[in-house]
Amino acid sequence: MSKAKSLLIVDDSKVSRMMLIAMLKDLHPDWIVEESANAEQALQVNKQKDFDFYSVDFNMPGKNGLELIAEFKNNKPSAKYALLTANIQEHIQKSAAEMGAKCINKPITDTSISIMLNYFNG
Amino acid sequence: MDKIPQMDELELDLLNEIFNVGVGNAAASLSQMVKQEIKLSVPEIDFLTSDQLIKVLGQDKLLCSVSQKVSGPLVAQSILLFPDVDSLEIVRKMLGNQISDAGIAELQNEAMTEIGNIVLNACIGSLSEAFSQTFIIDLPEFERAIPAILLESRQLSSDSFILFIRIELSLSESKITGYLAFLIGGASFSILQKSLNKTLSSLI
Amino acid sequence: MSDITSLFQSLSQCLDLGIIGVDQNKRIIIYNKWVAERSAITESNALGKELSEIFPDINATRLLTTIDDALKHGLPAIVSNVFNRTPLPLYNNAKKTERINQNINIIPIKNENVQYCIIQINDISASVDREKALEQQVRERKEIEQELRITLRKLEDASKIKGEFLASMSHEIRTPINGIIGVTRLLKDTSPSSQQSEFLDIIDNSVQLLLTVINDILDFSKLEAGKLSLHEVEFDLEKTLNDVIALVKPSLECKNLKISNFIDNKLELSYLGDDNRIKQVILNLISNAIKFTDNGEIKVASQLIKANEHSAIIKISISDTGIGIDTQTQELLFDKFTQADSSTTRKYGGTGLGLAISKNIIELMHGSIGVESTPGQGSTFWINVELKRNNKKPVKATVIKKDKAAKQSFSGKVLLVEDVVVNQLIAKSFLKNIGFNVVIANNGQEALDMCADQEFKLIFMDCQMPVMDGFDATRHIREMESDQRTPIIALTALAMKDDAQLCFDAGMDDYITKPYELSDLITCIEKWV
Repeated sequence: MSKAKSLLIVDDSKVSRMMLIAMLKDLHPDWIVEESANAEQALQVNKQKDFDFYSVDFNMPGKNGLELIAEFKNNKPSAKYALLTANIQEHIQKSAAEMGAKCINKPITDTSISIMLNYFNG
Repeated sequence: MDKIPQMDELELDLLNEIFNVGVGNAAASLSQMVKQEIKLSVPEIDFLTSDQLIKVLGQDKLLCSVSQKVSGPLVAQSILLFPDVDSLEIVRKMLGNQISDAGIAELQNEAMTEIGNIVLNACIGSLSEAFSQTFIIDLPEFERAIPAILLESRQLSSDSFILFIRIELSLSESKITGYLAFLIGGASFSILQKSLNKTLSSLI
Repeated sequence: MSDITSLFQSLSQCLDLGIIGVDQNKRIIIYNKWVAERSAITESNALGKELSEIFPDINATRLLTTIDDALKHGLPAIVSNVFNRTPLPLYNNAKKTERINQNINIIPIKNENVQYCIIQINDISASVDREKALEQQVRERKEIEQELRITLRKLEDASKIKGEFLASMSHEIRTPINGIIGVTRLLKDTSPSSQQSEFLDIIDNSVQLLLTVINDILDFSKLEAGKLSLHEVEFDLEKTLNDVIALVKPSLECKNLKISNFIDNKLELSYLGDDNRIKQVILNLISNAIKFTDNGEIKVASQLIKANEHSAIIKISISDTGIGIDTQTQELLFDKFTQADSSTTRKYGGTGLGLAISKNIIELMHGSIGVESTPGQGSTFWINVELKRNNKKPVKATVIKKDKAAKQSFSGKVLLVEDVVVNQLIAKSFLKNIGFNVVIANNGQEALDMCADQEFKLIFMDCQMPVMDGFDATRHIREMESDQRTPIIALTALAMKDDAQLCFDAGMDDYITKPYELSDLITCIEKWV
C-alpha cells in the first residue's frame, strides 16, 4: 500500500466537517485529514502543507467553493477536488467541470461520500 | 413570548446546514425552471419575537408572502417574504422582461406562489430528509400586506416566535433580499431541538 | 383497488377539473372523465399505467419533479402556467391543435401509511386569453400614444416654423407698405384734383387696413412663440385714451357715430405700464365696436375698482349700440380666428385675431377681458388691468395736438442714411417739410465718409443696408467722434423687441419703427434738438 493520503476539508458548517471526518475515519483511518471553516483559513493551511484531495463546500460566506478551488488549482493542478453543493445549477456544474472538479450532492450521506471517495481513489 | 429559547452551537450549525442545503436545492430548481443563473446567499439564522420581526421587516412595508403550513411531528407556519416592489422585479426578471408592467402585476400572485412553493418545499424537504421524518404540508397561500397583518393571521400559538432566515437572491444583475420565517410554538421548538440532537448523535 | 380509491374515483368523475391520482410508483389509480375527454385516453386505458407511459413528454419537467417530491417527502406543489406552459397534452378540441393552459396543484395524500399523489388540473385558457387580449390592448394603446406623441411634436414644430415664417413675412411686407404709405402722403401734398384726392384716400385707407392685418399676424405669431414682452413706462391714462379716440375719429365720422369718453374722477392719471399695448387693446375694442355698429353711440368708460399704495385695478369698458352677440358665440369670441360667425369675416373683414391678441396681452398683464351683450341691442367689452401707481412725479398731462406737427419748424443739416430709394424719398420729404436740410447717404460706408468732413445736427440711420449696415456705421461714427456726440436715430423696419436693444448697443440714441407718421418723427426729433 502506498503512502497515506491527505485531505483538506473546507466547509463553514462544523457539523458537515464532523460528519465527513467521522465517515472517513471508518473507511480510511490512515488518511491525514485537516479541516478549515472558511476560504481564508484554508489558503493558510494549504501554504504549509500539501494535500492529495480537497473537499470544498460551495456555499460559504466570503469566497465560494468554486473560487477557492481555482486558487488551489493554481498551486496544485494535480490534486483532486470535490465541490460539495446542494445547488446543482447547470452553470455551477459546468464551471466545476471546466476546472476539473467533481460535483458532489449535498446533503452529506453515505451515498455522496462513497461517490466522492470513488473519485479520489479512482 | 418574552424569552426565546436558545440553541447550542452544533444544533444551530446543523440547522443552518439543513437550510443551506434547502436553499441550494431551491436555487437549482428555480434556475432550471427559468433557465437562467440564480444565486442564493448563505442563509443567516436568527430567532426573533413577532415584534422584533415586524421591526426588521419594516412596520409599514408592503410585503408579498407565500406561506405553507407544516404539521406532523412538529407544527410550524413557513413563510417566504419579499418586499412587494422587489417581488415584481423577481417576476419580471424570471419571465425575461417581455411582459408589460401591467402584465407582471397580473402574474405576480401566480408566479410568486410558485417561487415561494419551490423555496419552502426545498427547505421543508431538507428538514424532512435530515430528520428522516415526513411532514404534512398544506398548499401555498399568497398574500400581500404589511408585516403585522401577515403575521397575525398565521400565528399558531400564543408562545410562538420566529425562526428567521435572511437570504439574498441574485438574478441577472439584481440583488434582492428575501426572508424565510418559520413561526413555531414552544412545544414544537422542543421537538425541533430534539430532532436536531437525534440527527447529530447519529451522524457523529 | 381499495374501497376508498373507488369512492374517490367516482366522486372525481363529476368534477369540472382534471383529477389524476397516482400511487407510490406513479401508477395511475384515478383518472377522471374531465382528463379522459381532453387527453383522448380512456379511463380504462389509463388506469394501472405509469404516468410517464401515457404522458411521455412530462419526463424531465418540473411537473414530474413535484410529483416525485410529493410522493417522497409529502410536499405539495403549485405548477403554474406562468413558468410551466401546458405540461400535459390536453386539448379542448378534437383537432388537438392547441394545448389547454393549465394551473396544476400537486397534492400528496397519505392513507394507511402509503403516500399517494393527486394531480389536480385547472383549465385557465379563458383567463390566459383574456390576459393576452389585455396585453395586446395595452401594446396597441402604447403604439397609438407613441404615434400621437410624434404627431404632436411634428405639429409643434410646424407651428413654430409657421410662427417664424409669419414673423419674417410680416417684416418683408411692412417694408413695401411703408413705401406705399409714404408716397401716398407725398402725392397728397402735390395738389391733386378732388377725384385723385378721393382715390388717394382709398389707397391710404386700404394700406392702413393692410398694415393692421400684418400687425395682427406679427403680434399673434410673437404671442404664440412667447416672444411678446411688456415694457414699463410712465404714461398718462387720459392721453392714452384720447390718442386712441383720435385715431378712430375718421371712421366714426364716416358712419356718423358719436363717441363719449368718461373717466371716473377717483382715477389718478399717471401709471407705470405698457401704454402701447393698452392702446392696442383699446383700439381693437373700439374698432370692433365701430365695425359692428351702424348707428348710435360708442361709450368708453374708465373706473377705479380697487387701489392700494402700490397699484390700482382699473376697468375700462367700451359699449356700443350695435348688432350684439349671442351667449354661445360670446364664449368663442376670444379664441383665435373666431368671429361672431364666419359670414362676418366676409361682411366686416378682419383677421379674427384681434380679440385673441387682446386677450393674450391682457393676460400677460395678469388682467382679465370679457364681454356682456344682448343681441340686437349692443355689446359691452371690458378689460380689468392692475397698473402700478406712479408714485414718483406725475407726468404732466400734456395732450399733444395732432396738427401741431405740420407747422413745426426746425433748421440745420441732417444726414439720412438709407439704401431704398422710396424710403429716401419719403423721409427726405418729411424732413424737408419741417425745415431740415437733408443730405443722403446710400449706405453705412457713405455715411462714414460724409461724417468725416461734415457736421450734422442729427443722423437718421437705416439698420439693414448693403456694403455697411447701420449698426457698424454707428459704431464707427462713435469711434470717430471726439467730444461732440451727434444724436443718431434708427429708422428700422425690425419690429421685435430685441432689435431696439441692438440699436442701443451699437450706440444709437433712439429709434423709430417704419412705417412712421410725420408726427412720430417730430415727437422723436423734439427730444434731441
